[in-house]
Amino acid sequence: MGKKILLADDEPSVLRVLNLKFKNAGFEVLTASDGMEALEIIKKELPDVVISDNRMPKMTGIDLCVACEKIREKKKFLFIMLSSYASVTSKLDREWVNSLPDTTFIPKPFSPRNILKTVENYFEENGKEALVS
Amino acid sequence: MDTKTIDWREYVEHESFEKLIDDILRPHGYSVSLFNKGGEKFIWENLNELNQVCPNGCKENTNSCNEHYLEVQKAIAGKNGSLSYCEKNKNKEMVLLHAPLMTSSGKNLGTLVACRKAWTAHFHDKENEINFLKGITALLADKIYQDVEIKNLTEELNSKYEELSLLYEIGEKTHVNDSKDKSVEYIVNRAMETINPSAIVWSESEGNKNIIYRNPERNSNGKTIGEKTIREICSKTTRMINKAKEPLILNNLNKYREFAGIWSEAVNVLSIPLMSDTKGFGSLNFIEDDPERIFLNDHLKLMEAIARSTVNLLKNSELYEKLQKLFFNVVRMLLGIIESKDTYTEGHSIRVYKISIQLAKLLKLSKKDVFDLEWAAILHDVGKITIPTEILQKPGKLTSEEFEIIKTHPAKGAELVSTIDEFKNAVKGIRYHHERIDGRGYPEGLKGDKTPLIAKIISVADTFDALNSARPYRARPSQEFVLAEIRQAASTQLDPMLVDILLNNYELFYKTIDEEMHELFEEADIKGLL
Repeated sequence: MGKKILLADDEPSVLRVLNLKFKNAGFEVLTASDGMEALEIIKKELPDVVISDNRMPKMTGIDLCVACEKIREKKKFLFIMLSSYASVTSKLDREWVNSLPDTTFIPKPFSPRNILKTVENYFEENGKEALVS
Repeated sequence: MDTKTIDWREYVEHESFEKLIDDILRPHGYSVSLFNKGGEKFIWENLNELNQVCPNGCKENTNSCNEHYLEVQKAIAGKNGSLSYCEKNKNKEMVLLHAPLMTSSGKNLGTLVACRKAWTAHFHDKENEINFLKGITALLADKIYQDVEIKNLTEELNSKYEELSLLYEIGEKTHVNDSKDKSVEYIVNRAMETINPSAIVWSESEGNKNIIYRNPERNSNGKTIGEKTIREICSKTTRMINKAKEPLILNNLNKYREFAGIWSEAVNVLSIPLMSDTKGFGSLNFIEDDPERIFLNDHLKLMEAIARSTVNLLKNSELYEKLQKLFFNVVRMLLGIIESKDTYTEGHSIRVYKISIQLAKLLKLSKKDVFDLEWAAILHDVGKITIPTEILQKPGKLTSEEFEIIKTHPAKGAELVSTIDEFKNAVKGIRYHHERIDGRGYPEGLKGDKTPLIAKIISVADTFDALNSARPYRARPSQEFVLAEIRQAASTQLDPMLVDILLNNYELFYKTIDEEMHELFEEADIKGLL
């Protein structure tokens, strides 16, 4: 069965590109265009990967990440935070994100191929564990 | 967009598309099949299998008359695109229609075949039904075309994202003081991932080198273009772009006279010169042995941008290397001056440098401290420049006045070096390398831990090398003698902790001084200065 991935970004083009990339790679793709929607979907669907922008309406990616902490105690998943450097996400935030387990910060503009690689590497490293959950 | 080459079946958003068909056609009792231009059937993912009655299910003798069946087959094969309607089925119960999937912009995407049981008809007459079906097929065709277009645009967007991140990363991740080869390799690898050609060749003007990077993602199925051919192509393209001084796309090399017969298959080449205003560094050549994958102007523009950053990088690394060389040569010259005045000590500065570094390694000093120590050790005797040669080269015993003059060299050296900002931490090492633990050293008579570690290290290295050296009046002493002397010097002259380290590893230190004199700056770098 394909892994479930949630993409959250208020930019449709980002969603579209990542959607295509991950669908082609055999993932089941869910999308959200703001932080609240993303949180709802995470609660309901418990995805294997969440890729979220930081600056989004209603709830930022950082806040989403905080809100996920409880959920992730029960269901471990990979969280990739996308954002442009400096302008939106402070160094402190970035360091905080990178310090969390199973959480990575990727700066925009990102390479879709590298994001896919990051996700695939994660499953390779966490292969068995991820399958059980 | 060429729909002939695109199989739209892969592009359609199944869920929404099938729902659309189900919503519109099922209420009228139709079951529907779609075919692409090549006559291949579109497979439903969500619709009930029962809904598909038509060919392949459309067997000659069941649903339709022979004549009409052949017509449908023709339509499916794309040979006949008109809408038709057949009532002459053998069991008189089925109505079969087929219509071309024609978009409103006039693109023919394939065929729609619809069947219904005769008695389910909601239409009063044949013409009405045909018009209805016409409208529906046009709608579906447009919908399909839209999906195809969205998918294509998304793919295009995807490649733009890749390109953008490539440009961004190359600016971000390459640094002036990385080695030139490392930077070029990084750029080539990233370009490889983005453009995905069969191979990239970095043709360097200097030395006329061609470095071939094969694409690991492209599997070689026996027909991979040979290395010799690649070199031949590159030497030709390099000559061409050196003349033209602008990038070059050569799709299907065989059509050019210069390249005729160079490879059995069509090869596509993109060649980008790496040139600054004043100098040509060489070129980047992208080789593609799949004739279908041609190079486009987009690739050229992207690679031009990358070539510009590459050129800047090469220019900078060249300046950096020159600067480093100049700097090292100046230091070498200084050492030459010191040693020409004090001929007993040939190679002494270099050995003290090496012994000090060895101690630093065992002490696990920080990079920054090692950097300061390196320069302090190399220049520890630089103050001897100010001491009269007669005194330095005097064969007999020195008078106390002469010795007082010699004793000025650490302070004088420190003073000389202190004018260089980057060496301000090295100054202490030079100034205090003749201090003693018991406070009987010079210039200040510092006791114990008042002397900085950097100076203590140099002091140990200096003493060790001096003890080991032959002098005009004595041969090189034995190891036992030297080690005994050093042990004795601990806690009066030298720091006992450092002496312990040296004695515990004495074989290592002997190796260090006995190995052939390497070039002084073989491993050194001026990175710490920047």
